[in-house]
Amino acid sequence: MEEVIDISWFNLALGYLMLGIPIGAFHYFKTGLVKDTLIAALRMTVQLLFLGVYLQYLFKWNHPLINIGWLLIMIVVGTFTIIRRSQLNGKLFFIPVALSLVASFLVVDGYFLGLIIQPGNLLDAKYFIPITGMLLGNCIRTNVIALNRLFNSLRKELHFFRYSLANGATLNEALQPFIREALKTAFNPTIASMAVMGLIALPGMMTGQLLGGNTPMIAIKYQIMILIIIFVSTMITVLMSIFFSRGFLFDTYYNLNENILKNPANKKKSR
Amino acid sequence: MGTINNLPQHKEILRAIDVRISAGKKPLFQNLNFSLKHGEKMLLNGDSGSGKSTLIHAILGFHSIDNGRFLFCNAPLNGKKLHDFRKKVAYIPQKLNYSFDSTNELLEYPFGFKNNKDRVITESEKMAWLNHFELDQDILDTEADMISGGEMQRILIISALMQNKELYLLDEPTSALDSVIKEKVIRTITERDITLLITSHDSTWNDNVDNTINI
Repeated sequence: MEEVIDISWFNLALGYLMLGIPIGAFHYFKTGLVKDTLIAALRMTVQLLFLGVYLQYLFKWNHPLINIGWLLIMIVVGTFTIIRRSQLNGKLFFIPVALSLVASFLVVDGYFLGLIIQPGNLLDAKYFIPITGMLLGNCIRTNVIALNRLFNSLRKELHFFRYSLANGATLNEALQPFIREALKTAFNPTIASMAVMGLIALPGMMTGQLLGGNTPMIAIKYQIMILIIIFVSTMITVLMSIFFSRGFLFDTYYNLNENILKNPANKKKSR
Repeated sequence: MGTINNLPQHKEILRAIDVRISAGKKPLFQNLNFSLKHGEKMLLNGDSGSGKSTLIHAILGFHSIDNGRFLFCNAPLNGKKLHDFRKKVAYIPQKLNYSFDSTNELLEYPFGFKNNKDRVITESEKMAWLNHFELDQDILDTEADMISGGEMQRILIISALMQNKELYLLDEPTSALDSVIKEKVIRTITERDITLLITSHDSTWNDNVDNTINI
């Protein structure tokens, strides 16, 4: 395989100069975005440098236990991110959301790495780390959209939820329209982007593979698999988050627990 | 108040015993007692804000009761019994904020539940009801969001009446109907052999029910 050309630190600094064009435009049109852009670029640099440093070590050590440790930290961080962004009560949701991520990674990493890639060592950093990291980012985004939609509509459309229950629906039946809407909202963007994949732009994963010197065919195979496992893992995460939290979402009479959101309005108790 | 039927062969469906309900800190009912027997029609009459809907919610387990209890067929309404109770009830809420793709979907929605599956509704039955309540057949293809409040209420009433349930809990079911159709709807409901608890602040119901509780 051909070695990829490294970017020297000096050249990297030269690359930053290109940012002058958007910053100049923001400044000229008085958008107020100059400061935001500078902060964002700085954050990006620091975060990625940090990532680069620790990934270097992860790859150097390539120890299964260390890789699992990394995964656990990622799951904790991911869980906090999901909970914060979807305004959920962290005390209640931490375990269900974390478990949903664990379930999702077990199934998808296990199947994809164990059966399809077969790197010899399932936890080989070269495969395990980038794949899992990519899955995590997507799981967070989709799970936030789905949980937000689900709990907000359950609160807003409470009359409809009660209408179902009081006309003989089981909890599953009464929840079904709400889960349906949450899944539609969360997965429509994924489906839409899958449908136009490769038409107008090179997907990120594929670009990376090509730059890394792989053939276009290897690149697209990975790209296809990645899209599929992202789809599957996000679905598992969303469904399992709902499933694992069912125990406290409702009281005995299926009244929505008012504590599920961080700032519950007018708390109600039930019989 | 109308006649109270105390004949022993009339099975008691619903009873409230010394029920106290409050909304937040505001007490709505103190020592509320009533008995509803099979086939009886009872009206909860009161201004809006008096807690009529809250009472219906409390019966259904959607609102807490501070004191007292409800009995359904002589058994206290709690625990598993309350879930069984919901299977035997047809309920119409005051509002239903959900976007059904079509009015037909709204009409048939409760019949999709496992619990109501044995009740098969035929097209001709639906058409007869629409006709009776002066609704056009085309309404079934219209998005449920697009129909008027009065049409919505008639559709919900049809949907409830087509279920054969032991108790009908209707919360302001005719508030958006104009007077001519309202009388027809009220007569149709009250002439049926069903057990009924309605909330309304509309006096038209008064003459058609067996009992009125003013709250």
